[in-house]
Amino acid sequence: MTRIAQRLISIGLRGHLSETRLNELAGAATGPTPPAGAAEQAHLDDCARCRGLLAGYRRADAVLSGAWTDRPLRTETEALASGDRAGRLRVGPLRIAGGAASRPGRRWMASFGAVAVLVAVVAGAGLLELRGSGPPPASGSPSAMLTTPAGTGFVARLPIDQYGTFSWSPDGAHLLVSDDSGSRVYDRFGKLVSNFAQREGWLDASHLVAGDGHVSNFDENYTSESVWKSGLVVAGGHGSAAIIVAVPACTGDPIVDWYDDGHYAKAGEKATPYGWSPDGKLVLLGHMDCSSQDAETNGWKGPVEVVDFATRKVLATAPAVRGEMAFNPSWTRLAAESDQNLEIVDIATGQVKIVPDARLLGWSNDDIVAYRTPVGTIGTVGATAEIQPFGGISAAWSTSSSIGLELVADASGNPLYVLGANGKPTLDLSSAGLELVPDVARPVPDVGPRLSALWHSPWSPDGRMLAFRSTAAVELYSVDPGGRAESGAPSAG
Amino acid sequence: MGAAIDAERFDSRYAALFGDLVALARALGAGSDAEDVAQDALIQARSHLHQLREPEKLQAWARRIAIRGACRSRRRQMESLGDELVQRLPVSELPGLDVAEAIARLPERERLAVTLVFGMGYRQDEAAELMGVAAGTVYSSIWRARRKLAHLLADDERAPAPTGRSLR
Repeated sequence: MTRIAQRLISIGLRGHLSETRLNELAGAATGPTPPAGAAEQAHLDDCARCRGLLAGYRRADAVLSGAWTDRPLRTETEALASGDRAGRLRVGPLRIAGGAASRPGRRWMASFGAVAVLVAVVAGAGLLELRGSGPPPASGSPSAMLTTPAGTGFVARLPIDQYGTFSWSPDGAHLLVSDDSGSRVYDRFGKLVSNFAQREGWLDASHLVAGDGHVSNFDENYTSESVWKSGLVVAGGHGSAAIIVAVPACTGDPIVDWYDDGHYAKAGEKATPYGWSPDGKLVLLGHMDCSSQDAETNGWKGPVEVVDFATRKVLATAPAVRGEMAFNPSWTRLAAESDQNLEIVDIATGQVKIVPDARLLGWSNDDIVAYRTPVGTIGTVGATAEIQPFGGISAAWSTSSSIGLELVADASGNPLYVLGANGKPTLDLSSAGLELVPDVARPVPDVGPRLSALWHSPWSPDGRMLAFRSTAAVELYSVDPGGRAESGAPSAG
Repeated sequence: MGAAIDAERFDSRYAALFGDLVALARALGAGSDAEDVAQDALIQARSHLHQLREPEKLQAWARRIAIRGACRSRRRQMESLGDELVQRLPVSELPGLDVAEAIARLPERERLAVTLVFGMGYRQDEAAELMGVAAGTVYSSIWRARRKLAHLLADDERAPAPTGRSLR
């Protein structure tokens, strides 16, 4: 990290004010809003984009918090609004700008293009045999069966809307991309394998479960109009093919129903399921009060238990989680954000260590957590030692793949480059416009109340592929452990 | 959990529930179908009373059914482009900007969330129950809607977002 830090210490702040900050400056954030500093004000004075968005946030607040009444839409508006995905179209003065208006159309073209290259992957079984599905290869044990694009570089750009999410299958063979238009399964070459209903997740390496509880093979198309039957399905499990359904009745906590091997196992536990360890043996259950004023304004906060699903035993508890969580690569520790602090939980002993004034960036490896400091630099801390900075303060951090490659990123979550097995940069991502985002089942809004979520590594479980978000896309990259760069990174955009 | 509700007890509350559901359906864009939506919701609820695990949530349950019906009705009316579509909308307008259009163009889940919370005064956890989603989904839907509105209502001098994220 020190080597990386020295190379990148000079990286300055990028671009515009964040939307979170613009939101605060608009006056909507709860609590005392720090006024614009001199540097921020100078940027606002110079930047039409930030100034315009700040005005937009103020107008949105005024409109939403003002009076409402039942009234007719204008006929012209009604005709325009009749189109599906109407929210993709701009209104008001922005409609005059031809360039902006053409972008949604291009995104649709991209979606249709992806559909056009539908590739049916034939799998053996037609009917689901949950018990027979068998455990997926463990993360960290690269499967020799997986076919990986040759060389190091860009592989594919897959369409996704702004609030979509994506996740690797437990064996890393496929990527599930979900957004408001549905979900799609792609192989490691970016070829479309199947379309699926919304609100689903990986049950195991071969099966997906939809928001209505329907389970399909990953290569079967399944769509359902019903998005009401269940509010949240957290799919997972290892061998036991377990899923958890959170019934959407949040006056108090959501109610979790448990299913195990396709059988109803437990009902009515008030808890919030956040996700599974990559091996599908541990599940995170939060006990949050979602009806308090504090929860409404700042997001849910409460203890999150690490539960052994097979025995239902609570192994450890992160005491006051509000924010992102992440397992270390061997799933023996959990790092969880708690307002300003970071909680590091040792699952074997239940011991909790608190790192003050730290926001989670991710696990660099099994023993070191990277965090962002209040001033925007990066610190690291040893999970097993006393809480103290490890490796000093830097401008970059890295997260290791299961085969020892390192992805280097900055404090804003922008990937910078990949270090090959020889320790030298093998793939430059710094100008590709990528974001290191949690590939969780639910998105974490970048403005508004914080929703706790489980963060997974962008590395595929076998450590050969990377998935990032870019503009309206998920971008796949392959990394050759030998360091051969063949395809190269595409230009931004 | 209270005692199970029977049909007779349900019928005694019919009139109050009906009026409530009509107002809700109308606000969500069911228009002239509002009464039909309300009646269908109550018929559906009555025929499935045994499924109601918490009888004290009868009204919320019926509202949830009515919301689904109202959304279906609104979609039908959008497709037919018939009469003017009436729905709950902000009163305020901004010079040169069609706020009603901006609200109407939000994706259904986000439009429902802001209408229930800002337009009808439900708490976010109540809106979540009515929409049949987790409370966190309502939180995120509102903030997505707010962000989209901010972009839609922004001054047009701004340039495309630089963060790699588009509006949608």
